[in-house]
Amino acid sequence: LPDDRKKPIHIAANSAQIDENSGITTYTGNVLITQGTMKIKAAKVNLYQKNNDVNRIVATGSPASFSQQASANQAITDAFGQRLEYQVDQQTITITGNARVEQDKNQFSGERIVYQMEKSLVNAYSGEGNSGQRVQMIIQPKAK
Amino acid sequence: MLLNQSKARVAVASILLLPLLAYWIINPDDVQETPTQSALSQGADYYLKGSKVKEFDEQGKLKATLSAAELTHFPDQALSRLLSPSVEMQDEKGTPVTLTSKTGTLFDNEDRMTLDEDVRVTHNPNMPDASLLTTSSLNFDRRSGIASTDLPVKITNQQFETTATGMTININSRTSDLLSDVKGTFYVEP
Repeated sequence: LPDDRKKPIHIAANSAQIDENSGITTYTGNVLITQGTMKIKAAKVNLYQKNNDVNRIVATGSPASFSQQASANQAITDAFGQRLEYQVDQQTITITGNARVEQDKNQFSGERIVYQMEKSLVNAYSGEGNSGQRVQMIIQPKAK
Repeated sequence: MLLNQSKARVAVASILLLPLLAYWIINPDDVQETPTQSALSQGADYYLKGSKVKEFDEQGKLKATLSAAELTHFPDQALSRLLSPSVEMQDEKGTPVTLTSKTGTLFDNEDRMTLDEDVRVTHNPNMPDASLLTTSSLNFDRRSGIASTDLPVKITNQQFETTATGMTININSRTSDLLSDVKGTFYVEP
């Protein structure tokens, strides 16, 4: 929801390592992050702080997952990938490694997907050259 | 004449003191041992009140200050029991760190001590990014600057609060490991 970003960020994990020099806290094992309706599940999360504020979260897993309800009248958006990077200020999630986004039964996949949380906008990118993963979209027809 | 007067005075004094003597004999326990006497009777060889030990490194720079309201040394156990111990030190970047608790134990010939009951580790006190760790018992190796506990801990500062069970803190390198059951809440700037 639009005011998700003003809500506290809650984190639970099996263990954690705090490095005050770099401002990075690494959470490991069944990591669950919630902030309002946003939810990130991962095997490992690096949480970056600047002047005590959380400004970036990188989640990795097989896959790591993200879900959020963009607004009250919209369906929940789900994203999956081996790596999710949440940029708090820009309110974007960048998904790489078998990146896939599901939105109201529509599916997007590609080498890299950038999901803009405030506009609920999905930008999918293919990989370079022939070997790169191509962008694929499955758009479900609207029921009449 | 003079002799009779002094005999009379001694008799009167004895009569006055007799009840006190009798009370003391009947109720010896009521006479409270002072902490010093009870410590000494348990094998302490020396006892300090309001002690402060300053430790310097090879370059003569103040490394740490260990103080305690009371310190009682027990040679047989090769340790000292501390009341209200406090350790003030700095991490590698010169950031002040203070460890306090209600009681503690300082082990002879080792740089090890334990802090017990209402243990508080304050990092960068009086600063906006000050953080406070609380737990109920902490082992602290003063040489390596590593503190550890197996018990529940809570870390708080203006922006976040984290709880866990079991922790290792390397005060010098400013890194910590939260060993299990980690839960954190980060408050976002409005």
